[in-house]
Amino acid sequence: MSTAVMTERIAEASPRSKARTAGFFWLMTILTGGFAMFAGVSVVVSGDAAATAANILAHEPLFRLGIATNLVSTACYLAATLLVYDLLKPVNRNVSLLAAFFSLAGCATGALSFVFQLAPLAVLGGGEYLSVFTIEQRRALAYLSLRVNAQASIISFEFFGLHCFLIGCLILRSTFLPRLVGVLMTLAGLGWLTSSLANLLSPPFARYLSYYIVVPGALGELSLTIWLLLVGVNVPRWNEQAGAAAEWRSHP
Amino acid sequence: MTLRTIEPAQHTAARVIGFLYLFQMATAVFGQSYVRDQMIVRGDPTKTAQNISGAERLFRLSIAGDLVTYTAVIVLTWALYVLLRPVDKNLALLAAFFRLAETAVLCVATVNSLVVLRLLSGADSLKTFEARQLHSLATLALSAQGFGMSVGFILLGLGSTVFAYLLLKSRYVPRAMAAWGIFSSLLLAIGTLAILVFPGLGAVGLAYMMPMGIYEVGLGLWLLVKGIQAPSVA
Repeated sequence: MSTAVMTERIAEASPRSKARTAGFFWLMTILTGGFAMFAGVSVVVSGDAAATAANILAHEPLFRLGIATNLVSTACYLAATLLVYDLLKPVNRNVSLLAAFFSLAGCATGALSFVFQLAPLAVLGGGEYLSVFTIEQRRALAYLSLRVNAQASIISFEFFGLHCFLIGCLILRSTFLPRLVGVLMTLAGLGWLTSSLANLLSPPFARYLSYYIVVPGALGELSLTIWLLLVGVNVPRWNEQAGAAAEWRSHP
Repeated sequence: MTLRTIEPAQHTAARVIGFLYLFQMATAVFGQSYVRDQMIVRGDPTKTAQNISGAERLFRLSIAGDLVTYTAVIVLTWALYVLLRPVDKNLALLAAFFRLAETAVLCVATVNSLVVLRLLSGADSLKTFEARQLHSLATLALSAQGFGMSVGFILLGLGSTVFAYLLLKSRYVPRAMAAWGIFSSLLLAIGTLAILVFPGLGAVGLAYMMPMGIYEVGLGLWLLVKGIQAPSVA
């Protein structure tokens, strides 16, 4: 299917099916992202480069699957971003666009940070040119790269935080989605944003915070996902708000 | 033509742009000139490493500062798009894409600073390297960050050229200012590209970036103070 045809189909779809599809893609983002995180973290033995390297080589298919799943997760997030942008356009099309911009920046940064997850495979896989380094050094570099990957994905969470926060604000001002979901999403967004910046400034403080961040983060995103999937949006009210927005634009 | 009427959203966007041009300039100068340029000693990886380890908090603050800059650039890009969409929607979108790609590239460049922190962390797993090897790896990461920023600057120049062209066409701001924007943005893109291909040209230093700095600050002040005017009927 060409992009033009696909865009048209998305534009034509009813708000309810758009909402359901958005919920589906957001849920896939969470599930695939969760699996990727598990696959990535399960090989790491904290502080032990040799054991980590041995794990990577012993479970290379799982490790590679984790990277691939990460990319799938990013793709799903992009799809969810587009659909949610479209869904929330009637509330405020400019703010909805800004939210999408933040998500795009986060997805691009996140996807590029996967390179650091691939690097250990290159460093540990026995390329002849690497023989000038000792095996311990190569393991240390592989471990370093994995740790940096974790840090780099934290950067993308700053942008995802801003995305969630703006979505929350838009839902609060919408007439077709529950306010509670909006409140939870703004809290989730603020949480991701805080933890991302705390991680850069003071990792120990961020570790202390993490519990208080993950719970509202998960609560916010899951509440939106489940609501979109099971209920969708209130279609008459969506049409009403979309109509009002269009009228306001033509007669400002 | 619709251009003669300015929507309220455009007036707001203009003030936001004005503020953000100044704000992102301040945070960028903090991260680059105030912190990194002070810490990096050319040709001396050990001194550089000592400077960074000795002021880790400040170095971390500069990384956070970079992210604040990039966040501001995303909002700036969005506001420029909102302002210039009525002039030419497709070109405004193209310019926004360039600048979004720029922020993604710059974020990844900043990841190199995290590599530096990790290399200099004194973690047990890195004991297999000599201290001076770690120092030179850290310097390597810092120069990789520099190259990443160059790639970002090329995209910045391209996006800014298109936005400046739309400003010129719109007549929202004095035409000379917009024309200066096209010139300085192109100079930034072409100059950065030229230095990547011919490193010897790097001897000119930051001089070729100055016009862009003047444009961003000048336009920022103008929009913040005067906003935009509806173009007079041609």
